[in-house]
Amino acid sequence: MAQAMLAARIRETKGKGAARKLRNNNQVPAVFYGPQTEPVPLVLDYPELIRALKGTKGDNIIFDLQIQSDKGAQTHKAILKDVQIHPIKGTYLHADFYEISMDKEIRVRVPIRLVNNPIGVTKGGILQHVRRELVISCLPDRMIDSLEVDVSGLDIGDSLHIKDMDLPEGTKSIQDENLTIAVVAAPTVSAEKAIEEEAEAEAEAEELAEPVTESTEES
Amino acid sequence: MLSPKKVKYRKRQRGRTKGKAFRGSSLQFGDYGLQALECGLMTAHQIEAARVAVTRHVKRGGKIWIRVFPDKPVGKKPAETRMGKGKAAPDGWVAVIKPGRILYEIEGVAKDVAAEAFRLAGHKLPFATRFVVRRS
Repeated sequence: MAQAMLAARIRETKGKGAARKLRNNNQVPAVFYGPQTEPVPLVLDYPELIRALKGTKGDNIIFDLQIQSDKGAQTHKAILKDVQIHPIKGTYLHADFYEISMDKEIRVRVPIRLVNNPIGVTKGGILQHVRRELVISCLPDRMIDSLEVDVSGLDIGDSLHIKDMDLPEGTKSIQDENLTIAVVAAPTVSAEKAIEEEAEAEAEAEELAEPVTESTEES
Repeated sequence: MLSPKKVKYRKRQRGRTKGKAFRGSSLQFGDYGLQALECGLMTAHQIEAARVAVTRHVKRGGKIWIRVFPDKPVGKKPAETRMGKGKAAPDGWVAVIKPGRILYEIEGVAKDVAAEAFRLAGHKLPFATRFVVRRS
């Protein structure tokens, strides 16, 4: 479980024009809300957000959100519920923080990482990572960065399901246990591919044949 | 060639492309992808040409996803025709592409193979593209 401290101020302005001004001033608009909390518009410093997100391992981070207002500073526990990213620049455009209670279970998305090379891949199969995230329910202090799954035993045609995974203590999946995580598919050669391969082989044969004719002309 | 099976109207207004592709701008299936950096219209022929370029370079193994579909009809007037006299007959299908759109994804190949395959595919397209890698 990763933790980070983040300072924020209450945002008075709303709308896309105001949001653009903030982004131009190296700040990011954000919002903080929760089951018992009214949504509070916030503004964050961009470098601080970058440091908190990229300096911490994994995406599931518990933030100590220090919100500065006229009444003083208040600290709330929160997770990053959503973040908007610019499709080209990759910069952060907006962040959603969701208030959590340390004694109440939350639902988080955990990335699934496949480790080791399956037997089926060495035989020519293709490892397909069908489901890359798992939604788990756990207490905030039991939150995990990622789930590692050993796929070395998968042969061609074998698949791995949620029910085959060993989840850490204190966490449980809330998705259907029959959903597929990974599968080793047989290499399929379609008729079109076969034709293309034949054409390539012919082209290569022609290329090989060409230098011989040139040399005969020269001689 | 990709084309819709059935459409409600044969001809469509040309329109113009504004903004960025916020939807369809992240990798969903594969480990590597080809992302558009400019806007434009991608014809069904170009989609197929780029796919063939990727398939030929990868040869065996790997799975490719095409993330765009040409669902917009475009017309073309016959050669040596005077302007006017109504809208041209439908000639082909295009996909409207905005900057940021993921066009293709691939999985099951090495990074350098995927990068080269997408470099070759990018040369078939009428806009700038870049190779993107899934964030681990």
